Amino acid sequence: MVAGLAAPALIGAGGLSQPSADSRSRSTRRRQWVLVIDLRKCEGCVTTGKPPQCVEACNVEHFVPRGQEWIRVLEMKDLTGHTYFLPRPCMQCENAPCVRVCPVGASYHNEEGVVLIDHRRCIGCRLCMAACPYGARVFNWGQPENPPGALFADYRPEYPVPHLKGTVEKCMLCAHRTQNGKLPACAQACPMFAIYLGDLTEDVATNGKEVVQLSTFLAENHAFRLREELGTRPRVWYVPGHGQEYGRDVRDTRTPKKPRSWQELGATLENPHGGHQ
Amino acid sequence: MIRKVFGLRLFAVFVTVLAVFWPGLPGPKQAAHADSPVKVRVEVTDVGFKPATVEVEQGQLVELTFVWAHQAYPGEEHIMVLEGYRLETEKINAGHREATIRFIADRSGTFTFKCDLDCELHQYLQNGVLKVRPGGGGGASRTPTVLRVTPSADTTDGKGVDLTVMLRDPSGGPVAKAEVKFYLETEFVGTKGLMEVGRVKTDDRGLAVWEYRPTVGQPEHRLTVRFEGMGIYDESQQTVIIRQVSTPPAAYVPAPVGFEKAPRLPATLARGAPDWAVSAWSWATNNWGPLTITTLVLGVWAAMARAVYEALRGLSGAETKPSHRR
Repeated sequence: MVAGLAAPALIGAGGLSQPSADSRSRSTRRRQWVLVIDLRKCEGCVTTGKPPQCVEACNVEHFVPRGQEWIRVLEMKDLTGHTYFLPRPCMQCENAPCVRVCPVGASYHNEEGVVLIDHRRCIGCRLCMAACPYGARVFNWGQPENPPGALFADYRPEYPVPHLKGTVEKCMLCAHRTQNGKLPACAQACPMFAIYLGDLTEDVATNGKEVVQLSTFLAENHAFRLREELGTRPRVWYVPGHGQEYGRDVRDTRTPKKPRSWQELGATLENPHGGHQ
Repeated sequence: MIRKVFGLRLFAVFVTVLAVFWPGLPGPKQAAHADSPVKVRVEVTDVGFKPATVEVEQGQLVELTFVWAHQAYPGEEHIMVLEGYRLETEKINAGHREATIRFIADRSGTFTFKCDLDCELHQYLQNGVLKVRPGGGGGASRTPTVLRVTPSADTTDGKGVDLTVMLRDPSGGPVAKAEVKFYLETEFVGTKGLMEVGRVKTDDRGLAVWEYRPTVGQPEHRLTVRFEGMGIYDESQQTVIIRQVSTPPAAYVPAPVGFEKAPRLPATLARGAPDWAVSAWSWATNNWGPLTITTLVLGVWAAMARAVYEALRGLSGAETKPSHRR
């Protein structure tokens, strides 16, 4: 009875539905997802007066435990001391150190190249956290707060609800959304259209506003990857910039507001986006 | 009365003549007729452009001529580009001293012209400025163009299709050095749009060939080929449709890193082996971590058990020794 109530709610949250026919009918080939973050468009949501919308959207989409941020908007300084903002999700490395070190095979790549965690296998050894050069993983030291009804949900690594104590968590590129032909929550919520979801197989990417040829977009805009020299082959590219497309000055000293948790935003399984706009 | 009118007319003619022939007034600033271009000559010297700034009014037809005028650098070669208007000249050097670009200054603002080659005087030839004042009296109109695209095939099985582009003006003359862009109408993750998939420049005959290599899997590849206008030419476009008969190959295949797949059972052992054995091997290699830990733990326990057993056996042996003597 309870599970029956919980399942439709989770489907509404975009959590447990199967890949739609539409997302697969066009091509039988497997997607190979990537993210491209255009830093020319990212200004940390400072001009909007709101906290970073990508972080808040992620918080409510996954009911991210309080105190964690699966995508973080880092304030960086260039060589001249000027600032820019760098959203940092999991890099979904092709040669992922976290996958290599996991002693129980809990971290793995799915067929679309996304690094997932099977929390039923995770033993909480945190070797993966030590191995990750990007600091993209977080640990549930205590029992995280789950939304009502989540305990009866049918857990999937693509949408790890409920969250479990003693396990490692991270961004999984909204695998439950991309499988259904949707943008990840962060890309969907970005008011500046700075986050592109791309597919290496079809060489195409979109930010929800325009469609670009991925390889050309990366090459023409001098895209780079973080700590590429480590050989991890990250699947997140950055186009260098400092929010100039929206008029942000490099001397702007304003910093992003603190993102609100899903509890503060009032998200529930029935109303996953709560008050988040 | 008649004298007064005649006097005014005479004065107007005098002022006009003065304005036209006064040496202090530079030529490019004059208002030009729609059909008569404003001709500007810019010398490319050893110390830069002369003049370095050219001013015209919006809507004027402009003929900008670059003149090779080096003294100390006889080997210099240049190709001048006018950014913003996407125009470039032919190569100029000691043998071919002049090159002209014609365009309608339809956009106001400040645009740079510079040398696009890696020449000796490169840094001196990066600061030419074209100022187009807004408004103006120029009413020059662009020449229409005709774009014709011919694909080498109507279908694709994933291999490339050559698209031959021909760009002409209404009189049939070629439009050379024109950039033509190719857009694919596609949908990705719910977003529909025109995706730029390539660009090419026409040659002196107004021709260009570009190979379309499909990467997106969709039944119909609707390509919009567009010339966005350049210089004195107006924009034009054409759409071609190429049907897909089989899925194109993946644009990217991840290179192996060594741990993607479990090692397979060697062929010699797999031959004739039951399915359960192959499955067990696969499971074991996929779960080498827990297996190793379990083996280690069991090994330690076995060693401890053995040690305890030996100790107990030793103790019991010591007690039973006297009974053997009996």
